[in-house]
Amino acid sequence: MAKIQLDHVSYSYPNRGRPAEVLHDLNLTVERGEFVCVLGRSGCGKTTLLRLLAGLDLPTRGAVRIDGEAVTGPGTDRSIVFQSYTLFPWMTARQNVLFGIQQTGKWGRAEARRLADAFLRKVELAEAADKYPYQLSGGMRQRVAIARSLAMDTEILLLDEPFGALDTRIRRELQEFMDALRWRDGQAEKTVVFVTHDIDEALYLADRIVYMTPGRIAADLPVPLPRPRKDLGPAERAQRDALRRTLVELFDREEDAPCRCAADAS
Amino acid sequence: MPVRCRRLLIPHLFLIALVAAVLFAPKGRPGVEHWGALLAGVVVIELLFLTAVIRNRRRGAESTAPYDLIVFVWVLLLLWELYTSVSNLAHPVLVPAPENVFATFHEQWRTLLLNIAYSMQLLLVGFFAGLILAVLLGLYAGWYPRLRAFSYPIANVMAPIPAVVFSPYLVALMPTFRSASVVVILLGVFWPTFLGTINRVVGMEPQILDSARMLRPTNRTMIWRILLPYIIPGTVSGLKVSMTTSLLMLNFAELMGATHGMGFYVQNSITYANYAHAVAGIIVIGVVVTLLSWIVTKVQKKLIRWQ
Ligand SMILES: Nc1ncnc2c1ncn2[C@@H]1O[C@H](COP(=O)(O)OP(=O)(O)OP(=O)(O)O)[C@@H](O)[C@H]1O
Ligand SMILES: [Mg+2]
Repeated sequence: MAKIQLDHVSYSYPNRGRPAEVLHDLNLTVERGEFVCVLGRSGCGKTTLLRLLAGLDLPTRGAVRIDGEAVTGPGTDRSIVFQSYTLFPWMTARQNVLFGIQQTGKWGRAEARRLADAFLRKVELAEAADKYPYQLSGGMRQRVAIARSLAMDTEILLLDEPFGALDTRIRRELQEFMDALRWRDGQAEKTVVFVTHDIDEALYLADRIVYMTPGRIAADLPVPLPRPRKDLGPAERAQRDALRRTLVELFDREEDAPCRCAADAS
Repeated sequence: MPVRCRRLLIPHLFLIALVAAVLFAPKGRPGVEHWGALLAGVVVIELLFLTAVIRNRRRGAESTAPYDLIVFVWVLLLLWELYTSVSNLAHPVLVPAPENVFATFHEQWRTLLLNIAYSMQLLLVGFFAGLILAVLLGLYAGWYPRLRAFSYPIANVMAPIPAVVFSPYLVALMPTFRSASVVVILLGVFWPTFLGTINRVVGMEPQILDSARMLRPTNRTMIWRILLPYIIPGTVSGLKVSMTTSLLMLNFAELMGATHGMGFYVQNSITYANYAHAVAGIIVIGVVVTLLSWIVTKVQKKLIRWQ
């Protein structure tokens, strides 16, 4: 059975006046252990899609199913990193991570503390563990949010441009760390839906790339490159470059005809 | 260095003028010959000023406030002294001389302290009972829509009614004056805080709410670990105002039918035409209010260190 299934999902924000449909009849299946990247231009509905998967909003039509069961709200089998870093401002970095871990109810107090520190170290924030969010930079806050999300060890990870505010080096390291976390005995265990603007990031991480135009899924491309993808052979590199060209073309095509998507959404 | 000296010079010129006025004032008015307490008071004020200056310098902050304030105090005392003891222009009974007021501090300190303690007891009980009850009920009413739906309209009607309006009635209604004062203060604090708490919970930032919802908190965790800390800064920032309002309400209530308390002391002194006592009482109330706000500010800083 598919881990995540979107079944004719439509969504409109409950606006006064005429509700505009932000997602229109989406169908998507994500298998267990799959890493799916969602690409698309700003405002095409990526965050909205992630909110539906999280259960923060419910589809106006159709259903989001996880392990075959319709989602009716947030669950501890899912964790999310929001596009705008959202920590609890009254908790220190460590308390934020710890609170997330404790909420899963999987570990005892001592173990939870150890895990929180381990994950903070992973995002290179061991020294900032006792600082409050207002004392951290945007990128540092985002790293705490990532640590919290990863430390919760949920089956499904939802990430909304998590690395946008980070510098290249730590970005690379976190990409690798996140990828490493998914594997157990050579088998990918965690299912990841990862929103990004960055084509190269998607090509580095994804098993599949979903390209969205406003309200719809315009393309669903598998990325059959071997892992790890740091040093690819020449043949594979050619394959990757071909994929990149396809994606760039998808972006460009929208650029030429920006009205078309709006027209067929109405 | 010369700048610092000049700063200290002006206040001290006024100080010398004041002391001279006190020492050489004609001894015509009643009680003016007992100037010991006044001079002791002047010494205490001067010491407070010097402490403030030293603390300021240690911190490296060169604030002009202590210098300006002390000049203000000396000038005020000097004018008062000139108007009463020195020139004898003022009405000898209605306007007491500084000597009389400071002598009151000396003679009546036990009575003053007792009355302060009495007022503070009522104030703190009423204030904290109102605050805690309002925050608790406000959190629950804010989080559970059904509770909110019925309590919100009630709070909207009750909150704007000033508690002093029904305090005469409460004084008549309640068995003792003490319980009446506590209830007046409690109600005065409760409704605005309750309403404010509900509003803060409902207006919670959507991102924080979403983050919290993703962690599937139980209602208990939600209320105690998310909502409570979330509303604390807003609640605490209103604390100083509500504390001062409470004291106002208490002193007002004490004007009718109390047998102890600061408001009673002032009222009673006026009834017996003992205006030196009345002025001393008013000054003491001012000092107490200042101390209370200072404490509240300290508490605020502690409670919201994460902002
Ligand atoms: N709370 C909301 N109420 C009404 N409309 C909304 C709301 N949030 C988003 N929208 C609209 O829904 C559409 C999709 O928004 P969404 O945030 O999902 O885009 P996105 O793909 O995540 O964009 P970006 O890459 O800039 O983050 C946009 O047209 C936006 O105006
Ligand atoms: Mg977005």
